Amino acid sequence: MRAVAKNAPQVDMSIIAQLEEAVEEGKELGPCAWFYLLMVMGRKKNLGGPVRKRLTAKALGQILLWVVERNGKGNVVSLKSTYIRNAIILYAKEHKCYPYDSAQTSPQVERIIKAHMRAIMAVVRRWVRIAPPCDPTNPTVCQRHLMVRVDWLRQFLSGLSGLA
Amino acid sequence: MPIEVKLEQVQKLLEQMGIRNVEPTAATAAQVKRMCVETEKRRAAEGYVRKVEEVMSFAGASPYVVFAFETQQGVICIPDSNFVVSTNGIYYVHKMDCRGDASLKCAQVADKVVDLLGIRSLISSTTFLAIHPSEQELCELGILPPTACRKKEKEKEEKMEGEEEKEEEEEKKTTVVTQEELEPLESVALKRLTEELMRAQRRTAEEQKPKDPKAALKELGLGWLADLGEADVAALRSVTEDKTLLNVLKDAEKRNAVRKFIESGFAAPQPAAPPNIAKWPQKDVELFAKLAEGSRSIHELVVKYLEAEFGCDVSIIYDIMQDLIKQAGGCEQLQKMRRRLT
Repeated sequence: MRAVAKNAPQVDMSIIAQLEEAVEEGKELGPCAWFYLLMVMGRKKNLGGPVRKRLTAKALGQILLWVVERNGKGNVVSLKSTYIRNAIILYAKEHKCYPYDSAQTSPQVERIIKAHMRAIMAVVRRWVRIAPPCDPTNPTVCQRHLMVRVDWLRQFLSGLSGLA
Repeated sequence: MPIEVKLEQVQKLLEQMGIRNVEPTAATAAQVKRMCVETEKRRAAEGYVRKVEEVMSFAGASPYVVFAFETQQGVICIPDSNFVVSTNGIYYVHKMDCRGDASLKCAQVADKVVDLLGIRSLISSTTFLAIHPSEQELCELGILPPTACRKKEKEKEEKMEGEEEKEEEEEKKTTVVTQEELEPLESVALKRLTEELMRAQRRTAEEQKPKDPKAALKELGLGWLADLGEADVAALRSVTEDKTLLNVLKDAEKRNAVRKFIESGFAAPQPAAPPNIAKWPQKDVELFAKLAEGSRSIHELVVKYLEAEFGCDVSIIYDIMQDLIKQAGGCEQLQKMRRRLT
């Protein structure tokens, strides 16, 4: 926890800094916050700084954990961009995040996700690299298809506390 | 090598693989040629024929053992019908039905037979694939030569790499989206994100507000502590502030010792005194207290009271009273007698 002097002058923190602090302190953010974060990743100026990889990982982790917990079938999941995109949209729809609170589909959201897909997939690839091979007899296939074991993913994403 | 030995070996092999219903039947060279599908076209080449002859001369009658695997496409033979070189020979045909699920087992048998007959170098992947068409499974079982499997795997990997590159290209392509198009949704998302953040901060501030200490204790299931009197709270405060006892309690042995001390240090709860005594005259209360102090039972208390009241040996009065009641025939009779006398 950061120690702040009682009489220290109040400094206006950027949204991204406040968000990072909130996550670090374990403040409970609403479920849609993670979706909105993925939507505004490209708005560096408005956010007051770039969204760091660990914050992206946290947001994506929260979304994927919800999807994996909800789905619950199959032993292995392939974290390809299509799956990730569908997972984000499903999460937003189910939690009635804007614009899915009033519309069933949103081509704009899909385009934004595609626009941010490189940054998102960078996080996913890092997870796949540290994941144990989904099939010990054929580890290269797991890496190539971004396949991970569902039980491992669940355990890993549950452990993504704070920004560590 | 005599033919019988080879046949025995074939039977042994089949038994080892759990196949019991395959009995050899005799066939002529022409019959074998008619029966088997030619899978190995290259065997027609002169060099290969010579090689087969060499095998025959080396292994004696062994090439005369023929395995005929009945598949959907026809009968696949090992050795292949191209190997039939002796038109006068007798061929011992072992026919197996390999249609449907049995095809994999047949491929395994074929693999063993090839080794048994020593003709591995003459059999190509085509024959095995004609018996069981799944290349992947044959590779996994090590039936197909590793070179063939590696080649396929490489092709597959190249294909997958191509797919991934394509996907990455698509990712790159879609990155170029005009900012104007994204403006409205991103602005709303940013606004909502800020709202979420403010809400979380407000929630945290509310949580940090000082709560009623008694309510907080009750929430934690420590309601019994909330009902303690002032003196107990003060004692508790001094203990918790000192922290010595809390530290001591962390050790199980010390904790038990403290518990025992507490249990032994407090006397059993005293029964309350009869409520009406408080209303008695002060003189009587003092007398009762004095008499009760040394009494071990209600009988002793009554005896002491009579002593105090009549000023003589209690035991005599007690005995007189009992005799009187006895002679009168009960308390009621005694009362009647007393009424008559007065």
